[in-house]
Amino acid sequence: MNASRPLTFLTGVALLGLGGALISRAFSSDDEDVGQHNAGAAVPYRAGERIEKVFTIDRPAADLYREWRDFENLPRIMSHLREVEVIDERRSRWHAHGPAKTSASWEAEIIADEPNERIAWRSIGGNVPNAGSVTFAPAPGDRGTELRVEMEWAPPGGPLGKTFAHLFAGGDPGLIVESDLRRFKSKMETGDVAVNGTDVKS
Amino acid sequence: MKAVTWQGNGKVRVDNVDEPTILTPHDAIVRVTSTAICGSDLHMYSGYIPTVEKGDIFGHEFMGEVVEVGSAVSKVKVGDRVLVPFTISCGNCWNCRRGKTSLCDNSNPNAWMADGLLGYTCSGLYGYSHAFGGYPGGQAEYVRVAWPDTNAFVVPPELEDEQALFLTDIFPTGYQAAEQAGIEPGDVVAVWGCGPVGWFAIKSAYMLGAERVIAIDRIPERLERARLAGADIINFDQVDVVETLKNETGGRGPDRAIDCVGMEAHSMAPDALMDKVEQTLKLSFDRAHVIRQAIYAVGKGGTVSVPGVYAGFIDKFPMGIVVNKGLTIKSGQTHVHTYVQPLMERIRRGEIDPREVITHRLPLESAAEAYQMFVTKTDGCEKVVLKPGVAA
Repeated sequence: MNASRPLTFLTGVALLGLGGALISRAFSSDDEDVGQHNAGAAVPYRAGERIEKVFTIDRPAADLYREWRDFENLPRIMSHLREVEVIDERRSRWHAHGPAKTSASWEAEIIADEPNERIAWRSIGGNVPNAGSVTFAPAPGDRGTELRVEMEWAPPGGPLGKTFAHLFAGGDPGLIVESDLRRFKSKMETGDVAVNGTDVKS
Repeated sequence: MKAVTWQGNGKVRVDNVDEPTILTPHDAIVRVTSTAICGSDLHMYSGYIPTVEKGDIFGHEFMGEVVEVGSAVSKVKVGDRVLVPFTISCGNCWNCRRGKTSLCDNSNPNAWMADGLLGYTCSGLYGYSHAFGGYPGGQAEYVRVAWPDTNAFVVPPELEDEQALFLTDIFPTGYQAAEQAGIEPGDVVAVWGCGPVGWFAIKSAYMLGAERVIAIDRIPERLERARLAGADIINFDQVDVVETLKNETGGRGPDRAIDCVGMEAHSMAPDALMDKVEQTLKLSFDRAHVIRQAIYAVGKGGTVSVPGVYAGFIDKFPMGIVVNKGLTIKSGQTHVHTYVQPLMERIRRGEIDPREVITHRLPLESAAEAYQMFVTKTDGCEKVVLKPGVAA
């Protein structure tokens, strides 16, 4: 993948952690009262950038959950992830190719793992503070599963967000994650991802 | 290999380019034996479709022999003689599994571009701009075919290329247009545009039980071909289309209207002249006179079916007519895969001879001349079949 190189990296980040950013929940509402500060948050409450992307995938939730939960699989889908090392049930270490031969790695922990329904994560320490979740919900009308990813990270410009901003390399994080999820959907539905040999290579 | 490439507005060239290769285990390479120029290629040729780039290989109506397959291909074999639908189907998404293959979720590698234009992308298309997939097309000696087990249909030996070729697009396109018009016995069907898609729509309307078809164009050869297909004809340069349709239908208007024209309508009507200005200034992609006229002319409770290609947003859209006459509008790229087998059967049974639309047979090397002839409609040029590998 040439065109989406910086993008794909992000998804690595998205998947990166596991575990559970309840942060996401706090952020998803504008209601002041909901602002439950999460003491353990990787990204300070309301200090981060946030994206949310959803795709309907014509496969059972269990299949999708299994694919996501086995993190060592993910670099095969996310071409810019070099490797994911599972440390133990809750922790893993992610290594990603950044743009211009840079690389980055960070440790993440799962903070929620509800089989076939939800995985949430946050980073631990390091200079790539982020958190996120993926949920799997049945789609109506036998259409498969609605897979929803929410991510947050420290904003570009701030000291914590510097590394992240660099990794985006000017790309639109929303488009990056969308592109990766689209590829994931195709992989799950067809076993392959469409390429055209011109602007999208295999 | 030789391939037809776009070189800017109104200009194509036969270039030497690299041969396609297998890119995924689900690919095949086809040596093209016949490929046609489609009216929709002219929209790109003339620069009306966004995201066409210099050097892009055109061509979405093609057939040939499979010369190589990827390791995951199980049904299609080297040596098979196949035709390939212009809409690319993954075969496994929700839409593909329901036969709505032009709505495939997974076959457009540049879906993000089309999402920007359309909200949601249609399937990938061969040789039809980067937003619609960026796939090199089949006006070439060789073409890469994605997911051939779903997209390559074996052609029986008793059918020659020219009988089968139009199953890749224009026969299914005309047929789907007639089918989705919801034709019922006794219906009068009006068809705008008597090019090849219009011809197939006329034929298909009768197959589906139309009582009468009235065809509208201004080019004498096209009108004559429509007449031979069984239609009554209206030359819009000579008479008022709306009045004539009203008179011809006992004052009711046609029950079904089919717009086989799309974005490059020709007319001297005021709305059409304004469209021309807007399209020239890039304020609009489309000259939408026909869809407006069809909506106005169709009878109460009627259906307007639109196989014609529109690219983007149009203005002066007569929504009030749609509401107050209780109209239904149906459109879509063609779910070609759903129609290939049943329509091939009709060809085998002799119910229709697609060769009747062909006006020119030329070597691939003559593509530049062929496009020029087709866009200017000189020499009665209606449908060109290009033959790669045939000496110029």
